[in-house]
Amino acid sequence: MNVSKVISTLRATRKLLPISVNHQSAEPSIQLSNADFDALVPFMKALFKAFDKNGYTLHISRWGEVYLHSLEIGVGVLLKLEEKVIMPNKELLHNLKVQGYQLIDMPQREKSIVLKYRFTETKTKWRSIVIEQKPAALMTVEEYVLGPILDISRQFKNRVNEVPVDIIEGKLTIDDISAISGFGAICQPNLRAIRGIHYALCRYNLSNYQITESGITFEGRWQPSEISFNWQKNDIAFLNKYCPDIFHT
Amino acid sequence: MKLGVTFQMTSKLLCMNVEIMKAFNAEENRYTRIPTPTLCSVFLTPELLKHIEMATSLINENELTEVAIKVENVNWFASLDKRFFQTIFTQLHVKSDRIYFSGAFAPQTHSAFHTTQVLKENIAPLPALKSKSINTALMESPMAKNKVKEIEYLDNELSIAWERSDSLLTLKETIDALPHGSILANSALNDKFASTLLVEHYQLEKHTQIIEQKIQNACLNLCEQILGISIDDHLLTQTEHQNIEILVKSVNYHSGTIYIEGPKLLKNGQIGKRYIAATVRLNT
Repeated sequence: MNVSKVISTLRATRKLLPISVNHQSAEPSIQLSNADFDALVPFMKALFKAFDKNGYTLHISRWGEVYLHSLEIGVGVLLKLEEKVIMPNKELLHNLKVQGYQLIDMPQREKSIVLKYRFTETKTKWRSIVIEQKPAALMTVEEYVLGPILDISRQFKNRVNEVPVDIIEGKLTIDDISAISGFGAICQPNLRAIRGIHYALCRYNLSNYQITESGITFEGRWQPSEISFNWQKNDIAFLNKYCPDIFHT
Repeated sequence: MKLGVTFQMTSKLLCMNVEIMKAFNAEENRYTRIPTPTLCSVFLTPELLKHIEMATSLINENELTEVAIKVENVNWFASLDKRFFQTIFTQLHVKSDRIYFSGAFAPQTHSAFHTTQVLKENIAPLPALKSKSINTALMESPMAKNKVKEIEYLDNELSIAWERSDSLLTLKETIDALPHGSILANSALNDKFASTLLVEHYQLEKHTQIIEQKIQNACLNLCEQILGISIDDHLLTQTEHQNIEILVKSVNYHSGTIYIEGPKLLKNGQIGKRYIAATVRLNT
């Protein structure tokens, strides 16, 4: 596995970060600012190398989800890098609904970054490990980060028998198209076809689609049975910017 | 007796409910799904408070209704443990009496959602007073005893001066009441006494005023250095039936006791009209 290629593909998915807000299910793995991302590149390289040594193969989805799996052991892991969020208890939500706001005494802490991981095909929670950005800590990635993950993974052996097709093939689903078109319709007023797609997806129950170089056609479950839109110049420029592979799949 | 003096500031987290803007809820836009946070939190840092102060001064000077400032370090949450990491264009809106935040997902700059409005008074409340009890046993210390002796000496001098000036006044009245002597008799010398008596009386009055001021200063000094009470402190006194909170305004001495006086603080935090005194006996 070429680690620097993996990092560059991860970096390429970051331009979809603003769009992922509109997506229903996609959760990008690296939820950090650009500066923090750059600072964590050596850590990620070390981590991916360590996983590679233990027989895991790595996949990165269109939205930047990092998925690792090993068919020999039968374990799949989803990774996430986030800033640590400290929020008080759930009583807060009730108080907010009644009062509208609340003041809480809290010690101000320095920001720390957390590696979260979850095993697929299980009902387990997201577990987390706090990461230090110091170079000395990178030497002990295998001890402090990989060790606990592999330890816990022994409980979940032989759960993953097949590689999930969605992540690897990266085919555009209807959800993906609705997220992209929603972003385009709100942020750029001059995208004719994409705005049309957005309104159609919001209004009608559409199931299948076919993309050609001249346009896109949707099949509906009910009325209307077919809707088609023709690409304009602006639409093609927008799509080429955010998902250049759309015309090849 | 208890007393509140010290001030303590801690960093406070302001959490607010988030609502979608009314314009985005309108009939035309019902098909556009806009992702909205449900929660917003902000640390009340000195910078933020400074922004609010600056905006309020602008509002007061130019008769504006609302001022909006772009701010950073505001956290928007989808749920309690899920924070939006995408950049959100956030504005702080300041009105004459309340504030709120509004935001939109980048690259948009038209804010699409806003928080509930919060009164300014609730954001920056008076820093909590930390109470500490007064140790009257400290009055037994030699330093305190010295100060008490000084007060008593001054009080003694004051009473002497008062007695002298009183008796001088009565003497002057008797001289004034004397009938005029005949032309032949030499009575002009005794008539002069009346004016000299008046002069001495006025001098004594000035003297007593100075001594009174000295006694007050000595009492204040005693209260500040031994008991830890100074003017504009909140003083909690315990009477037989209830606890009364006083805003200390003056300290006086009279016949062996120190009176710490001030207006009563009402339960709603306002300052009342009635003056109430707490007493400290000087046992010597």
